[in-house]
Amino acid sequence: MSITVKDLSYVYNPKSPYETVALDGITLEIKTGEFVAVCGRTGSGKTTFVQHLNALVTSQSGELVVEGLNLTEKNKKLRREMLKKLRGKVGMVFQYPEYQLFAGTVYEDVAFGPTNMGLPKEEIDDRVRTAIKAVGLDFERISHQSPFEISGGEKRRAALAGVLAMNPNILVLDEPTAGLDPLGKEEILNLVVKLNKENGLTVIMVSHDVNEVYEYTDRTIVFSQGKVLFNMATRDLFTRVDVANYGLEEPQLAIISKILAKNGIVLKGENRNVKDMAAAILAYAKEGGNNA
Amino acid sequence: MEKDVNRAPVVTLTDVVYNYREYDDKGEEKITNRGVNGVSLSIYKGEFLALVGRNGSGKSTLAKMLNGLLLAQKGKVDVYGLDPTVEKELYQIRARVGMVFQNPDNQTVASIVEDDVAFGPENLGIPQKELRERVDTALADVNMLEYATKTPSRLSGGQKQRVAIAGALALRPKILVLDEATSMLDPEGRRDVMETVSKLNDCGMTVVAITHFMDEAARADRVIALQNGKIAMEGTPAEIFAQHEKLEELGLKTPRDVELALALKEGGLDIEPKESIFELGEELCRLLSKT
Repeated sequence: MSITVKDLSYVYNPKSPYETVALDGITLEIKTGEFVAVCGRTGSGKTTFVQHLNALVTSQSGELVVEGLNLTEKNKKLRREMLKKLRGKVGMVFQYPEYQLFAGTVYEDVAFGPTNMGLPKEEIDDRVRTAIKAVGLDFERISHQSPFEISGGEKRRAALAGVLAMNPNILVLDEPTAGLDPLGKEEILNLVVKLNKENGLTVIMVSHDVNEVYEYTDRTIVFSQGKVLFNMATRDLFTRVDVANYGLEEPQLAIISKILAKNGIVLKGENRNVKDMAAAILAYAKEGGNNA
Repeated sequence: MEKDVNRAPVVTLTDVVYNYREYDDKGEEKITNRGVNGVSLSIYKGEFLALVGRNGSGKSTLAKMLNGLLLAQKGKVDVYGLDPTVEKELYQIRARVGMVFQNPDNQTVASIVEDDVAFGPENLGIPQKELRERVDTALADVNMLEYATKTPSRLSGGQKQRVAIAGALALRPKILVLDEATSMLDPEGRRDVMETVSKLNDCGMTVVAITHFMDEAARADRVIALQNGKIAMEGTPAEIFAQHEKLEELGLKTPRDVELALALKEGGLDIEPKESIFELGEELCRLLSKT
């Protein structure tokens, strides 16, 4: 198990007039290698939750174990040791990560994390090269450019490379596609899928875009008023639950699946992307419902 | 109700160019080809115009030339007969063209909503009585009057953006330019802002919206797609979305329902893109029930 959460609660500004309960008794588990979406309205607690995962927010009550590390450790010395290990295990990509680029060159920016970990020079160089290549950037062309002179999509990938250079086991992404053009979105999502499937990273992605959640993720956790409202397989959630009742939009392809099913037309497969859906419909048109 | 779009242009751009500068290692200035590379277009009174294109295609640069935040390096910009390169006229242009940007938090200047909305007209020296009226009207227009004395930092993203729109409206502009004003909002905030903008447009406001969301572009009267700082496509949303392959070349995507309909058509099914995903679903049921 990659992440185990038991009865986790968090209150902002406790015992003041601005007291706000952000998390209210969260219990859930995330397995190694899963690609999990976290959805919910603004203010539902989803960002507070993911900030707990690398101890940016210190848990107030409940249990939280990430990659075998106890994040609720109270002993100061043990806690310091735990934090040091944790930072290398959980890579956090914030919203609009390109605003956090700061160094003179892309190379230096990506090298910042591993340098602070005190790694030997050769290993840093190796990690920087691997990370820049992993995000699909041309190392020779881009590594010595200023991070402020490359395009928006490239900046976001450079920021992601900086996180990957820490060799994390878990990647937490807070709305990684916000503000990108449609093709840029697809490129980032395909990259994340590759890191998940080929490199085995556990991925937790906060997203407001139900279409991308539907197409790319295995499981969806929906937060509402600090509680977990749903925690189930992504396809089941969007085809079996009337998500519109809970402030979520319906993915376009889930709408098609639902309308067809209501009329007794059951297609083969999950059909969570346009290509699969088109193929399944054409196959049904050819063979009729007999082989479904 | 058919909107009355008057074909008299309120803005005319003729061959405008704006290229960003870059400095190399030796500190020498270099002019890049990033930005706008020769665009001519007119914006008509009362229309809803959407600008789409990849990141870096020149959309925001173009928008910033509409109210003189950037001045064209070549070509001519004409806003209501005014010339932004003449300083006195520039301020008149700013009063006619209101802008709302992407990040609501970067556009807040005061700690109380109504003070924030009053900031623009107050700087123009509007007398107290009229100022009060302008602020109240602007907040009412975006449906935020009940939050007049609240703190902007405690509002939701959609509410903050509506306050930013009110701040622009308090200057009584003729044209509202939205530069990805919904891209940092959640779906509800996005719907909120788009409904507000549609309402303003129905009441006669000329709207120019830059967006990556194709469903927002679909609400416009006219869509212009940019590529490398030039106009690559122009037409009604239906005309634009029908050109599936050209759109992909521009790094844009047709909405998923259109893409599905086109893929099925290519596979031999007798089907055309529909107005909505629900109509497409019903049509598929009819087609598949026959087999």
